[in-house]
Amino acid sequence: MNKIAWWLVDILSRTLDPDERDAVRGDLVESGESAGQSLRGLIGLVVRRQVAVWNDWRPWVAPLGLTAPVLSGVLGIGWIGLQFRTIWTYGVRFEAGLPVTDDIVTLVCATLLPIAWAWSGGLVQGVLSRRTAWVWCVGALLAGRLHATLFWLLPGVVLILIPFLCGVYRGIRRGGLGAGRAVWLAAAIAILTLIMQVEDGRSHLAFAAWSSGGALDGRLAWTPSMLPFVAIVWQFGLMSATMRLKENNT
Amino acid sequence: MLGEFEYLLLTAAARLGADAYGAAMRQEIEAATRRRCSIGALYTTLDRLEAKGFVKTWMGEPTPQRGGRPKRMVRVTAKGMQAASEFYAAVTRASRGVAWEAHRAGVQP
Repeated sequence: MNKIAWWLVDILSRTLDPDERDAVRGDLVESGESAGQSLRGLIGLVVRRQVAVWNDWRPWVAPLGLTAPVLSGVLGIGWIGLQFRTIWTYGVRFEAGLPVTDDIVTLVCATLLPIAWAWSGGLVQGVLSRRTAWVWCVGALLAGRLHATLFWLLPGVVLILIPFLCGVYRGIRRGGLGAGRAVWLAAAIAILTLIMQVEDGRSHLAFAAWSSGGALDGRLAWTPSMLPFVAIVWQFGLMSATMRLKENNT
Repeated sequence: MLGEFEYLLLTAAARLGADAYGAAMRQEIEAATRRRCSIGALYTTLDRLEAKGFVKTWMGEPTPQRGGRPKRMVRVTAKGMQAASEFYAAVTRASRGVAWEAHRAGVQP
């Protein structure tokens, strides 16, 4: 029993900052407390620390960084999941009457866009509020579990969860991105969003042409919208916020 | 205005002087209050006092009796002394003439 309690003390104390962990573990050793008393005391400290971090604005703002990844991820996963299911059920890919090159472009965008968004969302989370990042990680896992059907689980894990966790890790370890990289990332996301928009328009046009018995005449059905610009502003805003915090922390 | 526990912590740190650190302060507070002092309350209050500028803390050297782990040393700042002094004065003023103060005066040698 004592061994388990000490093991729990060891695990729990890892949630504290390294300096505090050493000081607290040293105090527990010096005061000769039993394993049970140490565990109780440590639980009290960890709970207080967690409650304290939620009093700040950052843990509440950081999830905003997840909004875009979740939305684009749902779109990307939806498209890839649909392809998986169609191939599994009928042995052919789902096609709206577009050439295969369009589907390849859509596949690349539907893969890269959620990865880029999820990674940046994780990075923002890691930089803004590393102590509460685990809550959103658990939340992401649970949300993934709710939508965990066979065809959506794998893309969900690969396109959202893993990049998100990598972003959190990067944010905690090395802080925000530099200005140059932030610009590149924002530009890449805006371009991918733009291409996705064009492909979506072509897909709708092809479907309409197929429904009316006609053929796709190569027109672009892209309706110009603010979406890519919103993407670039959103992404660059988040990265700027993390950069500023990084500067303040150093 | 300080809280009761914040005052106890400042008093313990001031009494211990250069030897003020987590475990020693806990012992001091437990001896004074005859109540258990949780490590969680101690460290979170210490952070609060440091944020207010009432104490300064830093990591000391590792010692063998602590399993090679360093102490978090504490020093009360001038601002902390001022705050503790004001708290003490306020409590003393507020206690004048009340039953327990008169009783305490009666049992004093």
